[in-house]
This record gives sequence, structure tokens and C-alpha cells, in this order.
Amino acid sequence: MEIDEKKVGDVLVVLPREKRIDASVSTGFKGRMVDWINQGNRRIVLDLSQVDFIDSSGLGAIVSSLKTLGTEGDLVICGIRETVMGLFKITRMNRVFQIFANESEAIEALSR
Amino acid sequence: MPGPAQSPKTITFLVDSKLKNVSLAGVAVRGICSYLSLSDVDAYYLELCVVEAVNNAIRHAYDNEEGHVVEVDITYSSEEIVLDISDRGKPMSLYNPALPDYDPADLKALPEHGLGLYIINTVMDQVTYTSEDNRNTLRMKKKLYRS
Repeated sequence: MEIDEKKVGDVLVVLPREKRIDASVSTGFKGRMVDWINQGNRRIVLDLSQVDFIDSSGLGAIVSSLKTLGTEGDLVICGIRETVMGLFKITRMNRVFQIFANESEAIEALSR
Repeated sequence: MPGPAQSPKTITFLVDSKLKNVSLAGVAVRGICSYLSLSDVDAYYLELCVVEAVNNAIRHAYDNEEGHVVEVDITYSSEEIVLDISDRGKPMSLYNPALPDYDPADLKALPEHGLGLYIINTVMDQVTYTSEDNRNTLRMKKKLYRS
């Protein structure tokens, strides 16, 4: 799975370049996220602006990343499309994750 | 004024039991939803339900073993769409579409798995599961409201 990453201050911005985060890639995606967390990244922005489909396996990988991060860090989401947001609402994950319109708002929130 | 009633039409396709192939079923459903002029959100939900059902068949009915077939039958009329996902593997022992009652603030309790059936049951108007003659079918029905 192609994923771009960059550091803005102490915030890691993760940008999946694939259109789908589904069961065929969720394990690999989760592994990359856990690697970044184990490298010491504690503030992470997940930019979903390139993603137009997530299934429950992909959502599970994102939730698992948040749980791996634990209470010492934060994982927020930005750029989510209206369609994908529907999945977050159905599963009530919109109450779990902070969701921002764009990357700069998300970085600003994590940098406070 | 509503147009004349449309007789149901059906398309069937077969998916080899590999998770990598499930996206093909998904985009096929999305294409049909576009043809039916459904909204993007409704199309996403229907694609999601088919993907979840095919994933379940591959993982649970066939234990992730390749070389089996998952059949997707899509029947639509002007009023509703019916999505049948069938396999010839192990039947589901427990049909449990409930979402775990979790506290969003309790990290450890957040569900990572088992959301597929809950999503299907939430999105669809009617869901039935039958297992007869070594064929398991999850039937999902949704009334159509055009955008």
C-alpha cells in the first residue's frame, strides 16, 4: 500500500495514496501505523483526502492504531469524504476520533 | 408523476475467494448504483454492504481459502434493490448484527472487528440469512430513493 508521510514539527502526517483501505490492505496499513508509533510518533494526522472507500476492516485498522497509541498520544483525521464519513457515523466512530476539514487545521489542533 | 413500474432486472457475477478480488465486486455495485442515479452516499453504503458480505463469506465460510466462488446476484426494480451474496462454505453459526455497546472514551473497549454485520443491518431495510442444500445466502434489501 502506497502511503506518504511527513513530519510537521512533532506531528506526523500520514497520507494514504490508495483509493481504498479495505480487507486486502488493512493488515499492511495497520503494520505501517504501528511501526510509526513504535518509532516514537505520538501525534498523528491521518489524511484521508485520497481515500474514497473504507470498509470495516480498514476502519478496524485505524481504531487499532489509536489503541496502540494509547492515552499518551493522539490520532486525528482530516480530509474525510462525505461518503466515508457515513461509515464513521454508522459505527459511532465520529465520536471517538477528532475530525478536521483539512491538514492545516488538524496539525494546528495537535500542536496546541 | 411516477413512471411506469419497472420489471425487476438481475445481474449475477462470481468472485473468486480472494480478498484482493472483493474490490471488483464493490466497484461493480457502485457502477450499477450510478446507473440507477442513486446518491453518492447511498451508492457507498450499498457497495460497503456487498464488500462486507463478500469479505465475510471469504473469511468465515471459506476460511480465507482461495479457489472457491462467492456469487453476487443483484436484482433491482424502480422500488428496491436486492443483493444476494451466496457461498457454499461453512454456514454462519451465529447471526449477530449488534454493535458492541462501547464507551467512546474507553480506548480499550473500542471494537476493531465484527462490525460488518452490524453495518449491513443498519444500512439495509431487510436482511435474511438462509442455509439450504449446502448453499448459504445473505439477502439484503433496500428501498430506492433516487437523487
